[in-house]
Amino acid sequence: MALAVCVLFAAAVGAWQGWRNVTVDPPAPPAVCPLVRTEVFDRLVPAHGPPQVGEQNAPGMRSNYCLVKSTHIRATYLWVSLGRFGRHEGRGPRCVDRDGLQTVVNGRNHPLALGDSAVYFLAGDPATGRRINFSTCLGTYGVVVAYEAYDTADAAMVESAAAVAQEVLSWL
Amino acid sequence: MALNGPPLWALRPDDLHRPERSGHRLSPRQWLLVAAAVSLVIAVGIAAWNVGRLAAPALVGWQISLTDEFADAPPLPDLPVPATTR
Repeated sequence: MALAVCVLFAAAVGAWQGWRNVTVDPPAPPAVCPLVRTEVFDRLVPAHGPPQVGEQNAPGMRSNYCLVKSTHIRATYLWVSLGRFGRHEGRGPRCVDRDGLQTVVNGRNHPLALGDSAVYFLAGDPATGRRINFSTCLGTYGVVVAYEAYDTADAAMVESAAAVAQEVLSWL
Repeated sequence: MALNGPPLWALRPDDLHRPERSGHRLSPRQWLLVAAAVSLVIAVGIAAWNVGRLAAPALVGWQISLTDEFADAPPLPDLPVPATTR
């Protein structure tokens, strides 16, 4: 009887340790550029060049981004990233469990109702380029939108970034 | 030189009492059984560790599918207001 208990205990501890420390990469998320309508880029980044795409992967996470820059001297840009989470360091695959939301410690973070959770922060001066970093989670997906614009009200920037993030989430 | 008591060589074996042992000694056969039980527990632990590690990708894949199945995607929003008109 005691031996059976010891064997069961060893099996449970062994299986838990094997499961807990493993890193599992998720399936690749869809390319994010096609998930944003061309009109959105046209409206938010006037006179923009062709979108630049790339991948940013980490243990237990895969993501790709789409960067659109204006060709004006005062260049605005819109950077959208779509990530998907697997398992790493005993956490995941839910985006909110994996630090999918980007925040700052030396500024104010504003929560917003979108997806499972969303937060944004603003930085910079409107005259020299105001930037918003908007991140949201939905299931195992995380969307990050970084948008820089000039002479634009904060409320309008938040609205624009939220619209882009919602646009990406709506196709998932 | 004066001696306190008799010298050690003067003691006879009957004078030294052997301490009484409590319980009984394990026989070699019993030692083997204990070693086999410990080995079994360790082997089961290692095997379970490998099973957990190898089953993780399938389990995480199932977790991902289940998580995203119950995630409610928001509707497609209206086009944002052009930046140049603000």
